[in-house]
Formats: sequence, C-alpha cells, structure tokens
Amino acid sequence: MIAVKYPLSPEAKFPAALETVRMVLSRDDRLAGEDLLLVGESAGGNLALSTLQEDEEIRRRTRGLVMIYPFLDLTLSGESAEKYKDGYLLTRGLLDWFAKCYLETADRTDPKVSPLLCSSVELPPSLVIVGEFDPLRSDAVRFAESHENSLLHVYPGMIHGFLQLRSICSARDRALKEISAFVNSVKG
Amino acid sequence: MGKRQLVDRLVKSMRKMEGTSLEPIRNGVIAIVRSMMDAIFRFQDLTHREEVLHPLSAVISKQVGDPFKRWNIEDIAGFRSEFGSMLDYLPRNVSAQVSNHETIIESQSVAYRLFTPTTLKSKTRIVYLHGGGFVLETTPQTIRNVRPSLKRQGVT
Repeated sequence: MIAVKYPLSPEAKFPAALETVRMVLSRDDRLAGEDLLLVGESAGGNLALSTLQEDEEIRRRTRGLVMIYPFLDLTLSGESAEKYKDGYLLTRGLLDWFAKCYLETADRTDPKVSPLLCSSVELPPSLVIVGEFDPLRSDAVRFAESHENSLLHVYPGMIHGFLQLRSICSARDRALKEISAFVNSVKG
Repeated sequence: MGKRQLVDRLVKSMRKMEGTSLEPIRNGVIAIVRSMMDAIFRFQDLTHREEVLHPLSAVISKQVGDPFKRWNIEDIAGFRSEFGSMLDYLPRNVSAQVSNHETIIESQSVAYRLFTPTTLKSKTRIVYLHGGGFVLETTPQTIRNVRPSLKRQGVT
C-alpha cells in the first residue's frame, strides 16, 4: 500500500494536489503500468475520483475505488450540507473554508474540483462509506445513485471521520471489515 | 477547569498509559465504555432512529462544537498541529515497518509511505489518499488506525 503525501492547501492551490496524484500514479517506478486500487478519505476521495475521471489510462488500470465520506461537491449543494450544517463535528462553514483554501480562482463547478458534477464516466466497482450525520452524506448518496456498480453503506448514528475512532467505535471496525472484503473481492 | 480542559487532560492521561502496566486496564475501560455506548445506541434505535446519534458521535460533536471557535484556523500551522493532536490520542498498540520514499517527477519531489505485503500475493497496488479538507494531513493517524486490519491481511 502506498500513501501519497500530496501538497496541502492553502500553500498549494488547485490543481497541485490532483496533478501530484496523477503524476505519481502514472510515472512513479513502483506504480506506472501496475493495477491499482484507489482508497480516498474525505478530500482524498475527491482526489481519487477526479483522478479516475480525468485520466483514462489510470482508469483503465484501476480495479476498484473505495471512498470514505468523500468530499465530492465543493459547491455544497447537497441536502445534507444544509441539514447537518452544524453540530456534527464537520460543519458547512468549515467545508466552505476548506474549499476556499483549496481553490484560488477555480470554479467550484469545474468537474475536476467537484467530481460529482462530472458527466457520466464508466468507473471501476466502487464502495462508498459515509456516516448518517455527515454534511457530506448527500455527496456519497448522489454518487452511488449515479453509478450502478457502486455499493453505498450509510453507518447509522455516525459522524464525519468515524473511521479514525480506533478501539472505541464498533462501527469503525465494521466499516474496516467491509473495506477489507471489498478490497479482497476486486484486487485479483 | 472547564469541561474541555478536563476531557483534554483525560485523553492525554490515557495516552500516557501506553506501554505501562496500566495499559490493559485502560483498554478494558475503553472496551466497557464502547459496549455501553453501543447498547445505548441500540436501545434508542428502537424508538426514533432519524434523530439519534451514536453517543460517541454526540460526545465528539459537543466537545468540538463550532470548529471556528475551537481552533484558530487562520493559523494554519497551529490548526494542523492541534487537529493532529486531537486525532493522536487514540491507543497505538500495533507496531509495523513503514518505509518512506521520495520520487522526483518533472523536477518536483513527491513523498509517499510504502507498506510492503508479506503474505499477500496480489499484484494490485493499493493507493491511499488521506483526508483533511485538502488542508490537514491525516496520513499518520489513519495509517495507525488501519494498520491492525492491514496486518491481519498480511500487509505490514
């Protein structure tokens, strides 16, 4: 498994992080030409999906995609972004601030910025995990609704970031088992 | 001392128990609390599902409150440090080998951490992209969290 340290905002603006991920997947000696399985968490889910949608060669090599409470719509147009806008750890205000840090002048409706808004591209099998009380829940739901070969699991009672709650959250353990099973089923 | 300082002190104390004779006791307490929270959640689930957070979610949400009040997010370095510290309180009882690498592509340096399989025979490379709103770096905490599961699959 490889964990990419992509450049962070606000120091690095869009599309620096996205281009870094694409370059590593395309040109690094350990990854170029190899079969891939992309796992992205929150903003990482955005980068994973954008990369797949923008790069046909990477898409062709990718056997599966796992997105964990992904941040896919930076316009914050989802119903949950309003419904759970505060009081659930991650707030709409913080999401908006993250987006401002990431983007300098880029349009939030650009599909490379908000990959949920991309017109249909055939993607590999995907697993999407999200908490019930996550302002990004609608992003996950809308993605799953528009991609037939995706599997969505909404974890009841959970908030954004619940996979970080090691040892003290059984939902986190169940989610990791689900991810493991999915990875084993697609990795070949 | 406010509630927030009390909780912060509590989790720091829990972290200090790692590697000491108190660690098993701490882990036992965590397991009991976890079971209690799950039981409470299941009980509530029988009545009004749509409005019920898992108790842990409720505690964390209340503890953090308004992120703009909890953190000075204009101080990016300080924000990253405090956020990392918040994620870092969790137990870390599994150690494993990690190698750090750097690759130069178009005169740009890109760093990554590599976990090499020991028993897996798959050719597929798993690429993990961390979260943090493009601003925060959550890889160290996440890797620590998923490492036990990876280890069960033969990845160290």
